[in-house]
Amino acid sequence: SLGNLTACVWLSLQNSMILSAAIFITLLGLLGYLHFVKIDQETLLIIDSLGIQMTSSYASGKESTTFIEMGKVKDVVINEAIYMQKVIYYLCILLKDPVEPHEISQVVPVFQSAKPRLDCLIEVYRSCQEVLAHQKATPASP
Amino acid sequence: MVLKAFFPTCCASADSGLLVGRWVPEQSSAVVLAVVHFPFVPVQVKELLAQARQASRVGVAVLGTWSHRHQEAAESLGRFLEGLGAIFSHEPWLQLCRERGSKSWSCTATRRQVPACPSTPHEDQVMLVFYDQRKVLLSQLHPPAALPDRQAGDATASAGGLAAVFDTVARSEALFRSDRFDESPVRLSHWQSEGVEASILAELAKRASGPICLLLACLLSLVSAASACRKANVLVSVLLDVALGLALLSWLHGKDRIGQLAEALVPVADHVAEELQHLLQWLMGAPAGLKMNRALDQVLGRFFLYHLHLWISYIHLMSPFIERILWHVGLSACLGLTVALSILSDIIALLTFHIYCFYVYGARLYCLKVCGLSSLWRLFRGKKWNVLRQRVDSCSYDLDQLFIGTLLFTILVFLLPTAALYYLVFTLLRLLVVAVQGLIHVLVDVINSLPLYSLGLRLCRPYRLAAGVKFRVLEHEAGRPLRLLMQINPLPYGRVIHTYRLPSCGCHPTHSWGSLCRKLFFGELIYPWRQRGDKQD
Repeated sequence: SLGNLTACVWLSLQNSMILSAAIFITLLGLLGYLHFVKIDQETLLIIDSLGIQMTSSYASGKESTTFIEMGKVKDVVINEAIYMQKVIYYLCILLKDPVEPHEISQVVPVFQSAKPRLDCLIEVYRSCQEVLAHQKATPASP
Repeated sequence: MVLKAFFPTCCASADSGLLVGRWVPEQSSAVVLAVVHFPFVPVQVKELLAQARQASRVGVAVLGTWSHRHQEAAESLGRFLEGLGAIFSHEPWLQLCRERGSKSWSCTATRRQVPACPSTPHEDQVMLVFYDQRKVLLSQLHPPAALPDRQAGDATASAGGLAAVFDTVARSEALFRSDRFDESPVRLSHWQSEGVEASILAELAKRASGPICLLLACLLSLVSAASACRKANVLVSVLLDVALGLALLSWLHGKDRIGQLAEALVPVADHVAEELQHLLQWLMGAPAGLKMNRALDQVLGRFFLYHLHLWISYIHLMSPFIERILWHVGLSACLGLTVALSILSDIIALLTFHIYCFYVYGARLYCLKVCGLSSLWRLFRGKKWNVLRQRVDSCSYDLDQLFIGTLLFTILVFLLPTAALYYLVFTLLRLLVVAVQGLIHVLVDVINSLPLYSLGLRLCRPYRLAAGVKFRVLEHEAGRPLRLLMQINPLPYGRVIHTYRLPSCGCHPTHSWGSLCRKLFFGELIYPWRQRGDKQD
């Protein structure tokens, strides 16, 4: 019953060992959340003829970066996905299959945590396409 | 394509001179390895480069000029630099220029021969990428896991532009041997010239450590023909194991702990045996309110009690020798903690041998019952198991066969709960012992297969194990080339463990959960440490 539960919790709180252990575990859990889960900022850097770099910076200051060389990038597109009762849009990078140059081997979504809406995605998409078009117009010189 | 010039950060403050490096035409990138300072003799420079090319099999050549000067530079220097382009011809010819004391860089790349199609520009656009030469030299790239349907040969072909940069720097050891502070005819600037030790003792120590490292490398290479990192992992794991074992040994032998252990062992075994006796008495009565078949119950209970009585006498017989045995076994801990843990696991197996025996008796009895029941159930329905065809066939039985079969079936059905209960209890006890042994084995496995050296390397020198690179855009002024800083992206800890994990003894459970439950239900014996290929009993 509720009265028993309250009495139990009160008794355990009186014991300072359990209380300090609980506080310690909560602090650890909070630090772990800030370091591994909470993403503050996501960046997409696209450099002509070098590649595309995606950075996620966490609340504790940790940064995790992924760099994809331009030789592996086929295209950057906005994909539509039907999720339950709504349609969501996400930007993703299509990677070339090394064996079959016309096939797609992997789809890498970007901005997984920020999940911007379609109007932001369209702007990013336009800038990416400008760079990629320039890159495709001047192929590798011998 | 934009021309990428990879420039080492250590040369950013070097005096004017020639740029020496490798030109990769497929990626349109120039990897600068060193700067040759004035004054120099062009013939000697060409000789040095030919030597370096032969030694390292990397196509090093003069790529262009580098000028680091004050704002009010002499015109003669500019013309002199242009004249050098005629002596060392290279396509395209780079001209990097930096004003002393400011951050403004300028870079041009010119092509002498006018190409056939007029649309291609005469001067290419240039992008500067700074890299830390020492870190790139020492790091090892770990490309992401290859697709399973690719052959190994493809991996090097599609290595990508950045792997070529790492490769170039790593193989150009021959070029980095001489320095601008050495008394040689050609003075080079590269990562070695970042600073000489001020104290002579430190310099001597560095020079002395060279042969020592060589000796260690020789010792390691004697062991096997695997890569240096894996050998280092094995060595560090073994050393840690032995160290922990010695610590355990010293703890055991101090303060007469062995004697205390031996004294405590026999009463604990007695206590366990007593608990088992209570358990059997409980089973012989009315356990959990279930009503057992009295006769079978008594028979089984008395049989197990007698077995237990034999076991207790055996333990009492052994008790004077236990201390000696434990002392000698404790000595084996100096071979390593894993040896001590394995011996502990074996001791547990020996001490719980009676539980194993009980489990086997109970399982065999139960299995017999289940087999009999299934066969008689088929007889009940008028079917038979065809051993030749491994399937169930219909069969017409005689009347007396049917009669006896039905009788036996009834008897077995009514005796089933008793046997099932004994089987259940002893199986649970056996599973408990197996779980404890399994935990010890998992601990031994972890100690053996954890790549401690690689983890330490990832912690202290993260640039040695690289998963890739990351770029940072530096200050950009309009009209100047784009400047980027290339840094090494270290390998995440999970991938370090996955890549460098030492092979464990491979005693993973060969049964899945489903087959385990099936075996338990039908009373088949479970052998936890049998490998998949061994002959089944």
